[in-house]
Amino acid sequence: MHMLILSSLLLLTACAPQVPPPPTGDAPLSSIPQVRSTHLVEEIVDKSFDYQLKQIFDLPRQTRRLVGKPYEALDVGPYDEVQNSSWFTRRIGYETLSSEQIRRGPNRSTGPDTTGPWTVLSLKTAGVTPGMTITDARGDRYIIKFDPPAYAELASAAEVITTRLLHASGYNVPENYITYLDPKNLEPGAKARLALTTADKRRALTERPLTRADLQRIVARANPAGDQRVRVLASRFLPGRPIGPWPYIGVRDDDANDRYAHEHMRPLRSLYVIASWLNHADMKEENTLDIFDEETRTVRHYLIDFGAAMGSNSTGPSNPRRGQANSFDLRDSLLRLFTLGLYVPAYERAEKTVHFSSVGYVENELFNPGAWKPMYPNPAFENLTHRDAFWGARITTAFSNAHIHAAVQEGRLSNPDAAAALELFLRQRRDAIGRYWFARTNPLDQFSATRDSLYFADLAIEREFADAATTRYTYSVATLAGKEWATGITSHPQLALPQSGTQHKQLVIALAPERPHMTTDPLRVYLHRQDGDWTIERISR
Amino acid sequence: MHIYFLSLLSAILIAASSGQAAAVNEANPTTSLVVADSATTAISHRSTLEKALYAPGYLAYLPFHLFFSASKFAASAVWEQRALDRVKALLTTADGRLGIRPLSSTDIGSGVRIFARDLAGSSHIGATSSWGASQGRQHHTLSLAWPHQRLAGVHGRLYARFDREPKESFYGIGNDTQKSSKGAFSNTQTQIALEFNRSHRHILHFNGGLGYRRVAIAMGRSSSVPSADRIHSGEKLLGWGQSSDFAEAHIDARAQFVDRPGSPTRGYRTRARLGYSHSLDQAKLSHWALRLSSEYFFELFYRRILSLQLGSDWRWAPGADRIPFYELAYLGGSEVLRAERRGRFRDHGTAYAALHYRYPVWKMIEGHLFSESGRVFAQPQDFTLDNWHRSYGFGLRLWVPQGLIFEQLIAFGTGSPKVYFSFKSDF
Repeated sequence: MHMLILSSLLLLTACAPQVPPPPTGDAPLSSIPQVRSTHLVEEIVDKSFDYQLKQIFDLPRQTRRLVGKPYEALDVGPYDEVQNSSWFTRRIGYETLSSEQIRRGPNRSTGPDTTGPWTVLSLKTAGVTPGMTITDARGDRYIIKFDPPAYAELASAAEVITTRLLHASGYNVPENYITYLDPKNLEPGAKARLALTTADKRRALTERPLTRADLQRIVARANPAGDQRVRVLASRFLPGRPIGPWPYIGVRDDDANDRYAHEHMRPLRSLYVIASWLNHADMKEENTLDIFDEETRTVRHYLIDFGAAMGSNSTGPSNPRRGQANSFDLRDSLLRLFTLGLYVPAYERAEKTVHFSSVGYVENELFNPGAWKPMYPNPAFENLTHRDAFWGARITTAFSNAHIHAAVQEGRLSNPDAAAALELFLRQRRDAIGRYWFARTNPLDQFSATRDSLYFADLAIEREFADAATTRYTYSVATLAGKEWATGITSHPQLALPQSGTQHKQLVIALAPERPHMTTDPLRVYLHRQDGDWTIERISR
Repeated sequence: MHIYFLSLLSAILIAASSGQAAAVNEANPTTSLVVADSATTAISHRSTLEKALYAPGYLAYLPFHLFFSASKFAASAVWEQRALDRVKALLTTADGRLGIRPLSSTDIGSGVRIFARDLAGSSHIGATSSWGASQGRQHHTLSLAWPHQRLAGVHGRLYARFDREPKESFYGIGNDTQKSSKGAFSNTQTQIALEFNRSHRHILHFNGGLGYRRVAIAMGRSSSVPSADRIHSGEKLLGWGQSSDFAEAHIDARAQFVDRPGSPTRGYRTRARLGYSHSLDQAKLSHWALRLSSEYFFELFYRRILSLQLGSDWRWAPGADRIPFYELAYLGGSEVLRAERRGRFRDHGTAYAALHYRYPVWKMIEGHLFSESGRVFAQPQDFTLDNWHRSYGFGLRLWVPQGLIFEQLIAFGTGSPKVYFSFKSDF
């Protein structure tokens, strides 16, 4: 009976849903989606408890995990790739990016016009860093954010560098600039108001018009040194109509183009790998934004607010816990509770060492690419499969040292040693990601077929995480019906294919690298011969 | 159960085989650009079979989902909608001068605190009232405080108190009293006092006061009346059924050298209080009281804290006066020997030691284990390490850096476990 149940469950895992291939573009919407809002506390309860329990009761999901066949991303094509979309644009890893392109990132200008006055439209109340919304002399609108007074350059550098790296990775991000504010240039806007609170600062009693003196006070608080020009981060307003954050679970009901549940989308699942690289644990819905483009009548999906990435915690340096545990980490809390405190996680034992206040805590001893954790459980990240991880690792490891250097330069860190420490932090994490994921996933990629050969690249070797001298590739060539045509081992990333004239029209090639102390499952390349040439039909990882 | 599960599974599998075929046929890739309808057709990651198998689990999960939805609503109301602030605002006048607050703890029962600031100059009038619903307790305090600038850095407070404990227990006097000797009495106290406080950098605190107190002891709700026969030491039960008046004075000194008042990891705090109660009637019940306590904090490793608390409480009477039974030093209750009821052991003196172990669970939530030991003595010469009563327990505490603590504890000893809930300032 148990065998019967087991085989039923195995059968269940074999029943994959029929998913249409990803659409090539978004269709114009007939109506503007509603503005969506999110509440951090609700989100934490939702993701930390409700969603976790829901997954426990999800029998098909649990069965799939048990037999090693988890739900794969829905938005991938026959080559296990995603198309360009309103979520993701193929950049690094798909095309060669110059350092100049990394430096420029999403920016289309040089930032706010600092030669004229900045009119303050409102004061920023959301988030942990003080700020304001302004328009410059050109009429462009920006959100201005200050660095924490005791940690000059920290949050602004983190924000700009992360912006550049996420943009190059393919995600939509706002234009973020480091610029210098002359406090004398600040002018209160006609409609700008200042909320007055009670003595205990809990209730807003009333409002009054914002004055120039108020602005000077705000700037003085953020600039205790009294510098004539204050370094700020200027984040340009995204073009279009903001309609609130996007969820990490499900879809937006009012966006007909949003058809794949977000937790089952490759770019969002794989964001885990990229976020772990950048130690961007602050991956909450509040830090996402949907923009409705009124010209195309489609929604574009952005990641925003990166002040708490890498060594920064927005208001100060990060700490060893960030990235090691969720904000409320149920497992760690229960372990501590029931072991009477004898369980001491490594992050508790680690020392918070900050050598440079402008880059914060940039130590990597505890970094484990497979065990990294965001602030709270993220459903997209929790559905990450090895295929998704490979995709994310391929992007992450495509960043060269020169790319990282270019991005860090954009942080305009005044201390070159601090910049070097940050570069080292990013390089070490990138390499750790490459070593970790390319040892667990089949790192063969960039397949191409000709009349008589199949070529491929071994990313682990190309990106120097493995040694070509000790690597062999096992292969088997079979017909679609399963009849084996050839098997063997080769040390070169090239396989000879049957010549034209033979009867084989369709072939399946299983390929796996073999290295000391490392084996991965073979991937399958499906080939079809037409007019004498072999073409790749699909790749199954 | 297995048969049921198997037949259900088989039925679903059979049904799914046709469903799956239908799904294949229906899969219709749409990649052309059309004006999208507002209704989204999300693409499922599950096959028809999986959808069917998902249903029972989802039904089992639904009650939890409802619970978490309610929790989410409550959490959102507190943090996002600032429900507590709104309630606080609702219970306070717009200028913040007059307000009312709820109170609740194992010690004081449930009640309210009423306060009024700046009614007479910059004074602060406060009224605290609490009633224990189950036990008929009453605690009422009316106080008038004024800022320290008025009196050369000394903060003054004039207050009147009324406390009624209708279910106090008396087990006799001495260290070996039996539970079977338990009697009940009610204790009603009325007090007027003038108190002066001075603090130095939140490290040293001095307090002194003068006042008048009236104590009325009567038979409690229980029909069991303690009698002199049952008293271990053979002393006459002084104060039973009487009302007594006292003129009182006290001085109190506290010092704390700790790194975090809410949850110290190192340092110590110590306290000494000397009081004198002068009997104003013919009963000759004048007596002195001296309380000493110290607590030392050691960090074992990574915020795992061990603290050792030592304390003693002594009462003695001058000349021919004698100490009424209700003024004797005691062990038991929410402070020391928590597994025992308040006043479980009474005598002229007490000595106690407690070992506390605190460890972090999450941010400002800590686990708390404790073991307490203590005994009472008739006189200091009787001090011995034999026959100490023990109590131990555990609980959770939520603290804030300023020193406010919410604690839920359960204590075990010889009798049934006692549960304590408190919300207090640590020092």
